[in-house]
Amino acid sequence: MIKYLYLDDEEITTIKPYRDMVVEHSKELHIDVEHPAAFQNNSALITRLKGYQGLILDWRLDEISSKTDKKKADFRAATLAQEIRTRETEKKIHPLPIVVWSQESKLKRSYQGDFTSYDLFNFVYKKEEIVDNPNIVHDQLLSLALGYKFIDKFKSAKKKFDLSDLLKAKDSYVDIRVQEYFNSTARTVHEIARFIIQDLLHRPGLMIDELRLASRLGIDKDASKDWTKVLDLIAKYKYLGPFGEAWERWWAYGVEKEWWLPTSDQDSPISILNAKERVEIIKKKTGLRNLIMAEPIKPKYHTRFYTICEYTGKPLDPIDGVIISEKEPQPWQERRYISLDTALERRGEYDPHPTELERLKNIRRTRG
Amino acid sequence: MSPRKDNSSAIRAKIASGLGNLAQLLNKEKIVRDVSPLYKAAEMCRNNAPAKGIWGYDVEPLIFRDLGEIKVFQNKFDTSNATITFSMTVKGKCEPSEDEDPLTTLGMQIIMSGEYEDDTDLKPAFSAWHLDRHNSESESAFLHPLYHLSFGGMHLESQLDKKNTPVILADTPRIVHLPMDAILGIDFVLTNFWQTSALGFRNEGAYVNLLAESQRNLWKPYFDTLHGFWQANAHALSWSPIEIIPQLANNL
Repeated sequence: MIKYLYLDDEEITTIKPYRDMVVEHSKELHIDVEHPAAFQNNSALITRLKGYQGLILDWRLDEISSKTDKKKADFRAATLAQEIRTRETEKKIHPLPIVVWSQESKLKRSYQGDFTSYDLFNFVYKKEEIVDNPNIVHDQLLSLALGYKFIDKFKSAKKKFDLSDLLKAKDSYVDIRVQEYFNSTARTVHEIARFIIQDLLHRPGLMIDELRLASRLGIDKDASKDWTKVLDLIAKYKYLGPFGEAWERWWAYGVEKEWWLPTSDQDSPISILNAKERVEIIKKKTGLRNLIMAEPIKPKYHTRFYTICEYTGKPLDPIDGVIISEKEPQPWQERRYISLDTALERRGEYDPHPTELERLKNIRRTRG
Repeated sequence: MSPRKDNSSAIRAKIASGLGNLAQLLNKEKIVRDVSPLYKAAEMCRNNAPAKGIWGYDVEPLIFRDLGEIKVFQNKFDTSNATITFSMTVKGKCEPSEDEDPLTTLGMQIIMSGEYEDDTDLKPAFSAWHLDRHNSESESAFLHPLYHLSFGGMHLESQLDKKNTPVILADTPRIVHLPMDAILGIDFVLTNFWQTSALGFRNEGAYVNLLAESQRNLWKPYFDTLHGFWQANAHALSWSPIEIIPQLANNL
């Protein structure tokens, strides 16, 4: 059983429903709720956390007094998390994931401008998102705690470790620069965890998620009855390292080179073929019949799918895309895209990359 | 004879670092939308041996933008927002002797995507070229120069709506062309689709070194062999000039 401690200064009747939604029917995850004022003294919290594998914090902890002793906490999530991370380095407490659960409006006011605290947390969940997808939050909390445990155990067992062992993958799947990152200094469990989540799982490149996988194979996964059979065929290339339970990923090299080339009997990479050709070959070579070719977002878009439109989640040939503005990619990371039309209509939360603005202006002009 | 030391992995690493350097240069110049295909090619080359003593990599869709002002001969084609997509699969020998073909496989394709303005609508318009190393084991009805550049071909065909496109698509003529790797291939794209004035970085030392190395490795043996065709010892050439250019008349 994985146990999280959840600190929130709101009334228990307001916050308990979020907790209940997430742990409902769960045999694996348990969450205790407390008012933060009970832990004015940090060392009381450190002692208390010994029995937990994870911590959930509201972003603001210092606004509402506790019902029982009428006290307010005098700290916020960022200060508390900083303290815990320091104690972790001093080995006063075992490493554990810290996530934020907060209302979107409160986050907007304070967290989003506070870049210094981004590194402290593993994840920030808006309470609105928890309501929409309590099962996903459940799986992620569980996976975070398991991942921390695994990395901690792995790290203490070996002074110098091979990243491919930690990630449970072949050496050749892991970019040499990623290897270097781990060679250079002694990283803390929290740093390793953050690197895996932020730089390997969340940014496509070495690994791809299911939407990108379907895009590269040219398959409409929701319309294809045999999609799960395709997943079985490539199960070997699935990511099995820390956090893989909740963040399903596949090693791109494994699927595109080690599986596709011999399976298809083709010399050339899958990306050179259009979706129709890809699906025809997959059907012929695997004998799976119920596979439907993915359609492009707009009829005039191309179908050499390789990525997805981040806004619609639909397959996209990068030629019809616009790269988005985000932290500059590392050499092993791919750019992420939105479709040209999403960019022209300025929909969604993604902004076009500054180098795309001139092109968009031109296209707008020619389209009138 | 004592067995020679196998330098293959060092050579793969060297080719990989050249690709990485090219990626950095192109990233700085901002004419490629996403340089990650080159980094991926570099890792593929570094970590994987296609066969003993062979190096190889794939460059998967590398998208160039902000092309120069290209002359298009029909005014309904709009290339102002056109892009070029470059893809390549290449394999070669890690330690070829001076007089043999250093490459074993080559497929390079360049697709230009623009728009065609008909009376009512903007339609996607394409053009495509591909450079192949002819696979001499496969039988073909036509003469194939070993390295040949053709217009169109299967890669263009698959992109088109077959009813509405007023272009004759045939993978001819097969124009004799020099062998390429990603560095030479990308330079071919740059020098054909951008004005020289936009390509100042081609004179920078790092770029010149990359080009010189690839040309020395791929072009020198090619020209040496062709040159040898008219020399006294032509029969002793280990790389046959007739393989390179099957049209060469052999009356020696």
